Amino acid sequence: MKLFKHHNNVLPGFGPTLGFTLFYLSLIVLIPLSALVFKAAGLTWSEFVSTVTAPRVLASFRITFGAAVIAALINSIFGVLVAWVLVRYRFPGRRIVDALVDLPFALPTAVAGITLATIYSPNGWVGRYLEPLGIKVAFTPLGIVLAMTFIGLPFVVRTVQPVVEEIDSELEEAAVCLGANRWQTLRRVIFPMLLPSILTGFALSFARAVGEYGSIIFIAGNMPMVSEITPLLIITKLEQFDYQGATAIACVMLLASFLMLLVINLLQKWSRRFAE
Amino acid sequence: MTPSPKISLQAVEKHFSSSHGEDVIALAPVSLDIAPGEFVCLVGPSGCGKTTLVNLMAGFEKPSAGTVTIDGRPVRGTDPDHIMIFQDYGLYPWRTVLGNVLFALEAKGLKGKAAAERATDYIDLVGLTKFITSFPHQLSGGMKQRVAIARALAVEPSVLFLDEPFGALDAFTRMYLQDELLRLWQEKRPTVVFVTHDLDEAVYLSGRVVLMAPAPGRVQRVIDIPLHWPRDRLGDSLGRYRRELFKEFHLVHQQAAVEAEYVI
Repeated sequence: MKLFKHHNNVLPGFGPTLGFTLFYLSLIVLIPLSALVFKAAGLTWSEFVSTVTAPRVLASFRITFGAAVIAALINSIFGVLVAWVLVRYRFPGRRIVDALVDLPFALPTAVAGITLATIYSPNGWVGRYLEPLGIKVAFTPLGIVLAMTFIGLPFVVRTVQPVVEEIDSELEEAAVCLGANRWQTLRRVIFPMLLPSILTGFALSFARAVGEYGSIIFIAGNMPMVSEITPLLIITKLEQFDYQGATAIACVMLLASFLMLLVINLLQKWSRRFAE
Repeated sequence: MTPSPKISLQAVEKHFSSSHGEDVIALAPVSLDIAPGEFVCLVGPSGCGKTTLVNLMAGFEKPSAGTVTIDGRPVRGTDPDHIMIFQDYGLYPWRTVLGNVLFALEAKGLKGKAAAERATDYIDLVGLTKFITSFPHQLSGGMKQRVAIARALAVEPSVLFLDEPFGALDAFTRMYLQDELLRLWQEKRPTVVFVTHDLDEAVYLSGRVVLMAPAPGRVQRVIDIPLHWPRDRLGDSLGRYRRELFKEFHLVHQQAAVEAEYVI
């Protein structure tokens, strides 16, 4: 029985290319990650468990993953809207708006964090209007969601945009012709076509938010148990020369991220099950 | 006494402005009446405005001048009583055959058991009962078009527009579906406007052939074919109309060639 199925294609030699791919992925991804696990393995099981279940660590997991999910959800909704507007409408300055979407990619995250903290602080441009309403953004968990939303937006827009461009207009026309109203067309025709790309955008946006450090620490306030994210906790441990503690927390974070991304990938596969 | 027409076109025109800002005439004034339950083919070479004309009737486009009325009411947009069937089927790949037909009924507000029963009836009518739970990508092109026809008929429209519906199919499937369409038409008797570039298809199917010519798009001639269905594809009577249409088409073709040279 043949172990690998392969087709003739332009890249020469299945063996060398697969070999190179595995070598490259090991060098860039697997070796650093396994070093992390080995370092954490210096702890005994009970030490490991007590490190990662300390109340301060658990609180940081809750805030990091919780805020990342919320930010990815917000981005999935508004990112789709932005992508839709950019593809379907022609208006002056469309190219500029299109270019603006990528800014969170290019901006140093510290700059983004300082800017957001300044604008949303109680006496900032936007914060001063939210303050009387009792909404505090800067130096609260809300600020973390804001920063994560900022850096994650391009991922959703850039994955959904090409799919909106490729929508077969006949499918929309058929729906309109059969008497479907706008809401039915949106929900029954457009949404199923966009769903796989929305899930990809959600996954990318979520993954980026979980790993984000630079922009968040300026706006979060970093109060232990309240607004302290896991990456910051890891840095804190490192500064205290608690390398094994830091790697233990990182391992849990890695595993949780991997599991969530795996689930989203499976969901995405399911949503594409009828593709030709 | 002639009955009032189902579809009536009164000096309908369509202009576009080209990318250079020039006014391009896609369709010169066309006047045409179509009777209830009639089967009319619009036929002609590309650029003759046949698709534009059917889009105007189906409400996808608005005329630049003139009026289109169906049942005496001006056409202002699409209407589930006037369904269009496309060359590329327009089926939803994430829905089964049943789901696709149900979509049309859901859009109409029909739900539950009544909807399921009606959908099943129409799938049965096009002979796809065995494939009711299949997805479109599991079906052949001819079967997909039969699903699209079932979906359109399930809404029980009084007018059916078909824009080159069999254009992507092989010759054998095409002939089979032509007979299927005639059978369904005779059973349900909607008014049918069928766009094609195939002269044989037009002669075989329709009670009236509207031959169109390009540059600018216009009606060249309307030929009545007062033969009963089912027709004999090789019969002498059909052959007579076929020759007449081909002769007329030859004229159109020569004109188009001369005009093309003139433009160059």
